[in-house]
Amino acid sequence: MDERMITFIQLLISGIAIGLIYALAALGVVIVYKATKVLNLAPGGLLLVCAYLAWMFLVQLGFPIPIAIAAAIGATAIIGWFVERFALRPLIGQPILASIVLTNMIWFFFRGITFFFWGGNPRMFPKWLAGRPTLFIGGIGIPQIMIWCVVISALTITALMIYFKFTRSGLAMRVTAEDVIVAENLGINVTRVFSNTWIICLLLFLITAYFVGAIQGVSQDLDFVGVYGVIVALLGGLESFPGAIIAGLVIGIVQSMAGGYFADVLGGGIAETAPFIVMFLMSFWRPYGFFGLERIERI
Amino acid sequence: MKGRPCGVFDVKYSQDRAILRTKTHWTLFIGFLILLFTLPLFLNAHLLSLGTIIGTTMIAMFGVQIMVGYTYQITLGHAGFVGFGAYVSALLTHHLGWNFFFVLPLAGLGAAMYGLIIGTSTLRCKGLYMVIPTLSAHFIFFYLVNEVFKKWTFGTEGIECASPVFFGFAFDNDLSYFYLVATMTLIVGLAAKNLMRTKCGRAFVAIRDNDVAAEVMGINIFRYKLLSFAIGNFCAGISGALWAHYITYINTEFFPVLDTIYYVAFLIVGGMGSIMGAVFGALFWRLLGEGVNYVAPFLDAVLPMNAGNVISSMGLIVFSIVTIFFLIREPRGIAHRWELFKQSYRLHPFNY
Repeated sequence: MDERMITFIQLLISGIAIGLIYALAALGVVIVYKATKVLNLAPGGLLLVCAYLAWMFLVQLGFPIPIAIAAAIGATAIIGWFVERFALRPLIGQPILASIVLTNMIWFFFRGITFFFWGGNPRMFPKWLAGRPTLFIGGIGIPQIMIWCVVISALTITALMIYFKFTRSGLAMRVTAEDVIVAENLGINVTRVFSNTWIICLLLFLITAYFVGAIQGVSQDLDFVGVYGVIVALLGGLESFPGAIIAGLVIGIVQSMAGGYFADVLGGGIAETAPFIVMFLMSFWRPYGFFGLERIERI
Repeated sequence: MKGRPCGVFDVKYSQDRAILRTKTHWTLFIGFLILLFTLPLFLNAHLLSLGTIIGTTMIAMFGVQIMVGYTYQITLGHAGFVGFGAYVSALLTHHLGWNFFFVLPLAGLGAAMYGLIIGTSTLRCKGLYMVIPTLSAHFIFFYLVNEVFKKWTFGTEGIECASPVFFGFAFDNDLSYFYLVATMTLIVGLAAKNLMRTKCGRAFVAIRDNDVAAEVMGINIFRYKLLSFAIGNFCAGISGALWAHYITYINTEFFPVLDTIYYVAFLIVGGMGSIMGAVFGALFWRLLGEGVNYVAPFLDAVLPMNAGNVISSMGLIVFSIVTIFFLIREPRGIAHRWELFKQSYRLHPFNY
C-alpha cells in the first residue's frame, strides 16, 4: 500500500471514530425530538456536565471503577429528570422557538456551572481509559479507544433497540413519538414518558462524554462537540435513528478529510467549518435531513 | 383593541393610525427626547459607555425583531451578521480610507447581502429548520474572516477601526459617540415601527401567522422572507459598524455564538412582536450584564474556593436562569407586562 492510500485510510478511520461520537450525541437529540418534538440544542452543556461528573467520580473522588461508573450513571439520570421536570415540562405545548431558546439556555447554564465548579483547565481521564495505545495494522494506526467506542456504541444501540421493542416503557415511548394524543387516550403516562426520554438522552450523552473525554480530555471545548451533535441530528433527519448514525459518520469523515486534504489550501479552519458548509448546502437539497420526514402543511 | 382613556376620541383617520395620539403622548415623547439628549452631560464615562452599548444592541435587536418577531424566521446567526457589518465597515475604513458615515449604510448593505445569501435557503427550510442555515452562517462568517479573507482582515489578530470623523469633528470620546448612537437608535427604531405599518410589514405578519395561507392570498412569501432577512440584517450591519468604531478594534472573538443565541433569547424575554419588546430585551440584557459584573467581585470574595471562576461563569448562569424563568412564567415577555401596566393605568379605577 502506498503512502497516499495509507493517509486516506488513516483519515477515514479517524473520521469514523469522531463520527461515531457525533452520532451518539445526535442519537440523544433524535430521541428527545421523536418523543417530545423539542429540538434539544443543549448537548453542548449536557455533554460538559456528564463529562465533568464522570471525571469527578473517577478521578477527583477516586471511587473504584464500577462504583464510579454507577455513580455517574445515577447522577446523570438525576440531572436528566431534573431538566425535564423543571425546565421542559412547563413548556409543553409552546411554539418551537420557546423550546429552542430554552434548551440553549440549559446549555449555557451547564456550561456556567461546570466552569464554576471545575474551572477551565483540561482534565484527563485515568490511564486505563485515556492512555490506551494505538494498534498498528499494516501501517495504519487504529486507536484502541476507537475499537472500544465501536463496540460500546453497537451494544448501546442494540440495548436501545431491545428497550424500544420488548419493554412496556419502550413501547410507550414509541407510541408517544407517533402521536401524543393517542398515547394519552391509551392511558400512557405521557409525562413519565417524557422523563424517561430525557433520562435516556442524558445517559447517551454520558457514554459519549466518556469517549470524547478519553480522546480529547475533559475541558470546555466539549461543548463544540455538542454543536456538532445537533448538526448531525438535523442532517440525518430528526426522526430517524439510522439517519443520525449515518449522518454522524458522514460528518466525521467530511471533517477529517477536509482537515487532512484541504488544510493547506483553504486554511486551518476548514476542518471546523466543513460540516457547517455541508449543512448549509444540505438546507437547499434536503432541508429535513437525509431520512427526516417531510412536513406537509395544510391551511 | 387598545383601551382609550375616557374622553379621548379620534376625529380623523390619521389620528386613529398615529403612533402618538394624544397631547400626553407628545408631551411624554418630547420630554423623553429632552432627557435623552441632556442627561448624558451629567453622566460619567462608564454609564455613557453602557448607554452606547445598549444603543447598538437595541439596533441589532430591532433587526432580530423584524426577522423573528414579525416574520418568524428563526435566526440563530445574528451575531455573525453583526460581525459581518462590523468587518465590512472596518475593512472599508481601514484599507480604503473612506469616511465612516459613507461606509455605515454600506456596512448595513453588506450584512444584508450576506443575509440574502443565507436567506435563499428559506425557499426550502421552514420554522425550526431555519436553525440549520443561520447557525452555519455564523460559523461560515468566522471562517471567512479568519481564513478566506485573511490577507485583508488580518485573521485572528483583529483589525483596527478609526473613530468616525464628520467634517472635522471626531467622535472619539464617550459623550459624542453616545449622541451618535442615540440618534441612530431613534432613527432605526422609528423606521422599524413605521415599517410595520406599511404593506411590507403586514406581509411579514401574514407570513408569521401562516405562510401557506399568505401565499394563497397572493403574497410572494419568498420575496418577503428574503426582504425580512435583508432588512433585519441591515440593522445588524449598522449595529456592528457603530459598535466596531466605538471600541476601535475588532476580532472574531467579539462575536461569539453565545451572543447570537442571547439575541433571540432576550428578544423573547423582552417580548416578541413589538418594537418595545426589542427595546426591553436590549435594555434587560445589558443592564443584567452590568448587574452581574457589579455583583461578581462580591461573590468572588464570598466563595473563595472557586475564586476566579465566578466572574466568567456567573454571567452564563444568571442569564440562563433568568431567561428560563421568563420563558416559563411570562412567555410573552416584558412588553406584555408593560402593556398590562399601561392598560391598568388607562382604565383605573376599573378593571377592564
